[in-house]
Amino acid sequence: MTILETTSPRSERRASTRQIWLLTVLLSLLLLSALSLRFGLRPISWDNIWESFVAYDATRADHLVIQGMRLPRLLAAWLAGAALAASGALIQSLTRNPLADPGLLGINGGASLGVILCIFLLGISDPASFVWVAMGGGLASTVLVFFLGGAGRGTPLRLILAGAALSALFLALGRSLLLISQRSLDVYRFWVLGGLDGIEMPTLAALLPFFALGAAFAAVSSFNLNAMMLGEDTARSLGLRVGLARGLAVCAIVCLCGATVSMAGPIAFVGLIVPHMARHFSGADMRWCLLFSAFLGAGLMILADLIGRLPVFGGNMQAGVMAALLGGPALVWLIRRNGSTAL
Amino acid sequence: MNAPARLHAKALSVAFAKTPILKDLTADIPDGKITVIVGPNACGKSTLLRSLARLQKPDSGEVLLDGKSIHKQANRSVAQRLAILPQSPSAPEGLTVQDLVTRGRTPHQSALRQWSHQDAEAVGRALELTGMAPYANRPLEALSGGQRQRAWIAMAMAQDTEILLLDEPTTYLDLPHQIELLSLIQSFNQQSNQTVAMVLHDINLAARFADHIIALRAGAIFTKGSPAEVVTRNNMEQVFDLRCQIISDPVHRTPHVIPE
Repeated sequence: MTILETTSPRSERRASTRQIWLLTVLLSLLLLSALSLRFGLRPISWDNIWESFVAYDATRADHLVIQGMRLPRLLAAWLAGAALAASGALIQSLTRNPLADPGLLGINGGASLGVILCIFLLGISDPASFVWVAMGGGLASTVLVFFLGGAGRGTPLRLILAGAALSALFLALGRSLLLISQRSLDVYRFWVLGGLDGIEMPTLAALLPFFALGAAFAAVSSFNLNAMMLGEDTARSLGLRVGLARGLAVCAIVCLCGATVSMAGPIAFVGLIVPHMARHFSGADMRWCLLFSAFLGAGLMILADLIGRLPVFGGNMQAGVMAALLGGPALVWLIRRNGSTAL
Repeated sequence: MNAPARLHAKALSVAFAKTPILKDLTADIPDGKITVIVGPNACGKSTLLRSLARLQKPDSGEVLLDGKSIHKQANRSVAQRLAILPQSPSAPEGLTVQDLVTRGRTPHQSALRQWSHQDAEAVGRALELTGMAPYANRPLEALSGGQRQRAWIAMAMAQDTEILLLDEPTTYLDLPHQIELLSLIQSFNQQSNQTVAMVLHDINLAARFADHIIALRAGAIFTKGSPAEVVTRNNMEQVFDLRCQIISDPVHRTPHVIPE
């Protein structure tokens, strides 16, 4: 048919634009990563960076800084940004609510309460031991939210409402404990700001399985969510087991966000903002939206961390705070330019 | 006695909040024919269709697809044989016609095997049959109501099932677009021998396009049969409380209702 012949080049062009954008985003991400290794309180030359990878020498300060501090920090920024943004895309699509944030499932609230309880009851103040407490708190509260929200059978709205209610409850409980105990507050303050300071390779390695599992769940969910975004009836009619698909998406979010919050504390906004940016490149296809979200999220975190290290900000502005400072205006600009792309 | 139809409702009862909607209803959806379910508002038409499509779980009774209870079969395997287009479905903003129609292939795909030659062929065929190929890259919200409905029909066609259920596919369309859409469904039925069952409000359109009409009243089948058997003065008065004259449509020779 002539009609088909005239339209197929258009659709191909559309698909290839998306691929070119993805390539551009990836290249920018690599560039940012390189810059993030190069600059900091102590600028290190490209040669030294290269040598620290190929001929590591533990007696040289430059090598120690790159391998012991900047590389783990860079990887943490990659993982945190990608995980948060991908979870944001998942939850916004799952709940069909453009304002949904992965924190709505109660992960951050549960993780915070876990950390506070750990400081308050056990008197632990070493940030490294917060990892598993935060993870446990986040997991427990998400399981609670999922079952209060109807265990996959309830509406997405019920899920968010259950999450919002429990988050508020956990926040209130945590704050009342902090009011009682000044010592807990002092320790907690550093954790809650959400930063990439002091993350070491062993922590990253321990959390990597959760990120990998989350990524696998997310990949399968992206296929399911493509059908789910046409409404529950249509999704079921297309052969999807809706409850199972919802559960799987929640598992993906829990793994990704749980690992992130236990690594870097609660970081807001990245999960809310980045999926909106991603949709401008990806359109309504969830598989592309997840890819773009992950790469843009990683890029935003690295950029935020890089700028936060500039001397202007005293050299240690938290990446989570800076990400929101950068991401907010960028989103406003995108919306003003193209109009909002809803779900 | 004929072989039983592939899609069969057996003693279905459905209630919402203790209000009975369907009462012990038994019906066959004849294979390869167009069946139209008619009846006054709130008589349970949509509930019957949704039950047939396993979107509504009955309180008692069951729906049989190929001789087995539809709720006991794997959802995906049902979706390869039966498609339903729900009433006024919604799509995310920015979704293109091509993307939408591609989603119709979901039951033939899996997360690991997402695109095949058959998928491309079925999507291309559905776009062509519905005349939506020139609009393939348009987002749905940039289409007129009639085009949008055709895009959804194209999605259901791409699903490539032997049975297609449609819940009020002509809602919000003006008369020319209603005729266009129903003609499209009719020609598709004639070409592919697909079984079609749909809910329609307009009794005259039902009479014109249906092979088989099921008339519901208060959750039970009042009468069923060919348009000539169902669309009679007496039935219209009993089912719709409508006093009318029936004439023969001068063009299509189907019964035509003239309300008094």
